[in-house]
Amino acid sequence: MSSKKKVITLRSSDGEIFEVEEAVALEWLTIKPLVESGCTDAIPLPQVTGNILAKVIEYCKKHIGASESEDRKILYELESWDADFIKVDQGTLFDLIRAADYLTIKTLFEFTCQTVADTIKHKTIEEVRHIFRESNDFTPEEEKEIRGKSWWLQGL
Amino acid sequence: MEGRDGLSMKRRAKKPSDLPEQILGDILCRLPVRSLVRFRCVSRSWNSLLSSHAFIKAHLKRSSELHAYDLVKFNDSAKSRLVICGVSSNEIKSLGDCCLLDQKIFQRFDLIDSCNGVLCLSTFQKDSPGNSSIILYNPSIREYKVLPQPSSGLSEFIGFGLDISTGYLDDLKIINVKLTLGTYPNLSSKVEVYSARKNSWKQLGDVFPMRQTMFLGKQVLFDKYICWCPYARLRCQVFESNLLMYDLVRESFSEMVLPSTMPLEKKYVMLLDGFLSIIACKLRSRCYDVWTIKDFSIPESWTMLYTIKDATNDIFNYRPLGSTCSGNIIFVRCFSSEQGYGSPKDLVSYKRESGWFEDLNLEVDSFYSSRLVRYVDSINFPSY
Repeated sequence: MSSKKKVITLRSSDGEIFEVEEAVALEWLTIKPLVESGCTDAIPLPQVTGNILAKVIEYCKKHIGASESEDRKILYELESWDADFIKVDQGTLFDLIRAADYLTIKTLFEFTCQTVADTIKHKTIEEVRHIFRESNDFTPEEEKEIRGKSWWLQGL
Repeated sequence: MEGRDGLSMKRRAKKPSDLPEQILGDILCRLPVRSLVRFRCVSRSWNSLLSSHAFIKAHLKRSSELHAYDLVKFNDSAKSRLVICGVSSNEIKSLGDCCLLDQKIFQRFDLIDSCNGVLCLSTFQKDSPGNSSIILYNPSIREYKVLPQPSSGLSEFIGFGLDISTGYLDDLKIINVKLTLGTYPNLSSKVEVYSARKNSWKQLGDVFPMRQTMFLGKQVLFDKYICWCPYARLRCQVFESNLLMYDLVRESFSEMVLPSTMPLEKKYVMLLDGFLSIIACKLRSRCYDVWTIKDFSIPESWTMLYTIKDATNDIFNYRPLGSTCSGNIIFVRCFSSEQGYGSPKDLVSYKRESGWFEDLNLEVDSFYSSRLVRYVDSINFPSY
């Protein structure tokens, strides 16, 4: 590790300025070319708000280098840190997914998507509709037909 | 279809907070099949996403990488059963006791093979071929389809696979090889191939090269080929079989001559570590030689990997059934003194590292009715 770490400046959609180490920013594939080109201006991120960007940076700072570790203790510690990190409301979780997708941060995207999948796995259809703001737009006949295909799941 | 897309676009515009379809797909493809089947009812846009080829493909890919199972088919005294075999932990989980098997007609069947989450079953019975059927079945979503009958009648020689050249996951193919009875060399074959996308049979004619075949043996899907080591008899002599291959893309058969150094007795084809392999029986020395071909285009690249010693002894007799995801070879074991039908048989797992046969605590009624295939949970099923 070199003692003089290069710092990248980022600007959120609401104008907040953040500074991250170059090593962290290089993991964000969307801005990687800009970082590599030696850009010194603040990089604008018009799709990410300041509070979400702060969370994203927090996650990436924690994970840099640690995810590849083979030390069980470090991995275990990271896992419990992740579990605390992701204790956020539904809106924030979806915002994190969008930010990870927009910035192309694979680890965060995988983690947040898996979290949502684990959350909804056993939820009822009504609960899922509520979470994803979907409305039942089937005709009664269509719904009956589709439900008929999963008759065997009733009561399981 | 167009109307539906239009509708979902409008709705998306109305709800700025929902996730783009591509991200939604990334989340949903992590769900187990049961959840996916339920969530088709969420809305029209969810239903069309979950039914789309791209989604089914992404889910299948994930499922194959993370949850490939060893599926064992066996018969007990009442019916045929499908179980997921946790070979490492010796746990057996029933998969098949569901709607399909509750119907009397399908109580006994053979499992031809498994491909992209779909099983091909045959209820062929020599004494009543007219009442036999081929069934495509996805146990995870409990959907099945009974195929129309081939024009030459259903045969005991059936192959199952996928035409990988089209890119469709459900372009499943079944070949039916009807051999006419006659005396050598006046033998002929009628080959028909079924396409699940067309839901119809096509005549290929008299193209089956090994007309003296007595048993086709258990098939293996390898790349674009269905492979068998058939067992043939001619003038009371059992003779040496080549590797028989059916090319699912070119719709043609070919034979590969096996190295002369391979034991002459019964051979069993299977996949080991992703390579096409043959377990060749050496009855005299009571062991099995394990061979593998590293480069399928070069028949000379067959190599003998190792020998399974003492595979048949005074107490037990072992016959290789197939290989597991973890690379173990599963054998059907019976007492050497009583090898016939009705004698007690069970499955054991052979680990190369230890050279040991480990009990799986699963009793089966015969080698012929048992099958071990790779299975993945998927929502893939042919739709016509």
